[in-house]
Amino acid sequence: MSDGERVETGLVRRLLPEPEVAILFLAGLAMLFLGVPAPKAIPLMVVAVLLDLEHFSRTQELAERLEARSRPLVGWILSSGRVQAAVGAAVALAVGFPDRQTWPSTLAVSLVGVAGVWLAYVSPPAADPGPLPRSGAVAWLTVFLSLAAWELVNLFQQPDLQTGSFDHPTLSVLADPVLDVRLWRILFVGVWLALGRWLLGLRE
Amino acid sequence: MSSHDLTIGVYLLLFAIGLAMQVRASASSTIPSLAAVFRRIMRTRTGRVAVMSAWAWLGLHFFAG
Repeated sequence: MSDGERVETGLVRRLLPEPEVAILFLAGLAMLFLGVPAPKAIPLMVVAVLLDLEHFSRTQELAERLEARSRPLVGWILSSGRVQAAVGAAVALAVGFPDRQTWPSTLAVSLVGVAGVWLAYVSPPAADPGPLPRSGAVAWLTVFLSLAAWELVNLFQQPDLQTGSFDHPTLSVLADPVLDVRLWRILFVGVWLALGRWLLGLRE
Repeated sequence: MSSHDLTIGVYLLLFAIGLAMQVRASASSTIPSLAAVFRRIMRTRTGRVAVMSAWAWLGLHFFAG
């Protein structure tokens, strides 16, 4: 590696110390280019920038202070079945009963989404499980990247980026007729909530 | 086989591979479970926030207007 390459790598490492930041930012940027509405794409970029700023400021200390202050509240939310059931019921009502993708569901899903990200930010770190076996990690990465690639292949086969194709349906196009049915919509928003709870539970 | 069937078939194949890996993970020392993968990604605050942001985005994408 030449000195120039070494300097460049060091600069990239300093500016983007963690790959998740770049992935989030690029995902948001790609969505904007693909015509995803700005309110769905820009939050990812904002979160990425805020995370990156942590490395250049004193916000790490802020995060630790927030974590200490929020510990009782986080513990209460994550351990209280009643709170989670109430949130689940409220979101199911807001998503299931009005027509699909109207303001009540947007508000409910946005609030729960922000709460999930906040809980992730302030919840205490768990023990590092250690590195994964390389072959297994590569296998999972291959599955996720293949799924993403196949989704993109089908997206670009559509007549245009906003019009679904019957011959080359994306997962969103396949989900549309299912989520148009109230019962399925309530079931799948329950699955989404359970997934979020499971992910947060991995840190407990 | 139509393009429609092929497209859905590839999705099903990829989901089946993921499911098989998850089932095999309990008996294998080389294939980690999905929980282990996410636990590893979420060991840092950045990873935790990134994963939960992706989760929030999925909710917005499928349920929000």
